[in-house]
Amino acid sequence: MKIGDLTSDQLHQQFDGAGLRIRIGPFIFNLRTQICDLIAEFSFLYADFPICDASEISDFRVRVAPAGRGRPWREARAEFWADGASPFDAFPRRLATPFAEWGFNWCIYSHAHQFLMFHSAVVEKAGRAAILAGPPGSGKSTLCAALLASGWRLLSDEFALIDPVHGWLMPVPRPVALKGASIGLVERFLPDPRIGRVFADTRKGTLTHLRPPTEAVERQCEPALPGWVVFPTHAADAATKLVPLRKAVGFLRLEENCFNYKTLGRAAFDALSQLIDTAACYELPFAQAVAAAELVDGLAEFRSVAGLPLDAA
Amino acid sequence: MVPDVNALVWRMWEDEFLVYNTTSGQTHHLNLLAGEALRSLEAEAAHERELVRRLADQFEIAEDSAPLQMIDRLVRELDELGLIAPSTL
Repeated sequence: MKIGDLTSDQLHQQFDGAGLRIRIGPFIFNLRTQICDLIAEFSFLYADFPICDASEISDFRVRVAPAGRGRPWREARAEFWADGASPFDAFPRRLATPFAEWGFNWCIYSHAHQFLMFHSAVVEKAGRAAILAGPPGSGKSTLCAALLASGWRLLSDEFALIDPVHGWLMPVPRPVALKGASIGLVERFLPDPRIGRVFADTRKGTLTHLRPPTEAVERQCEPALPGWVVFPTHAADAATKLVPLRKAVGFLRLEENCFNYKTLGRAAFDALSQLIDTAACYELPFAQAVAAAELVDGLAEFRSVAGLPLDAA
Repeated sequence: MVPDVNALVWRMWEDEFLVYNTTSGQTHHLNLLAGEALRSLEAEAAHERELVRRLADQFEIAEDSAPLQMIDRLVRELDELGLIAPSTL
């Protein structure tokens, strides 16, 4: 059963009771909350995700709860808790959804050390994944959305999770966070964007979330092999082009975006080396996401043709 | 000398080396000359003059050629990075 199959009453009953257990990629989250706006927004963004039964053990037990105002004139506030820890101060209750998303991120990057984790969006076509790595503001979410419009599958908007044993990229196809001007852009180039509520005045400016495509959620147990590592950098006056990077430089740039390189030590070096062995690395300065997506799409087409047997090409 | 020859893990791409020091947890990016110098010291400890001789042989260049004239500085840098240490040769 999916979250979208539940009625409003059932949703409130589950979220307000023992919590709703959701499978998101390799993780099971148990989310409890009484906050009605969060229940409505979350159940829209995660409508296609499967609900787990009570026999499956949760990786993260999360609660988003109303908090005291502190001062009577302050707006209503809320707190995020995960297994007894609270990574944020209390926040405005109207921002419960963005804070829940940031809290889910915190759960993963603080605890999921069975994976080598990078700050990246990841998309896949024909079995090969493109890792779009970069710090916040580099334009990777906008480029990711443009690639979804070109038929790429969403693996993740926030994390590249690498299984260090097999070198696979594991999907975590959570909603794509869109900020500022990219919101209008994505509405224009995606044929049927399913966009959640727009939040003004967050710590990252105006923010909304793109609901993950249904196919990405249905295939969230299918890992992909790495094909390309791309470092996008958005600038209004940039000449959009793919610039090949030397592999050693690609390694070091990716290490900068890694959450747990030091924690995993030798295993991280080996896994990252294996990734760089198999993936071509590029810088991608760009002004327009659609033009940048065409260049990345061209990489997949070239590889697809190059991979054909000689008599079929 | 390299203090613990089992401590270094190597990768080489396009004439560049990445070396992971399992003792410090640091990853270092070395050019071809620095990488080969360190690999040579990892195989067997040597004085600077001996190291210059080995590298001159390997790269087929003169011992007084410009890159090898800077070997003392390279050795000092590798020492500062904790990749090598003085030995009692």
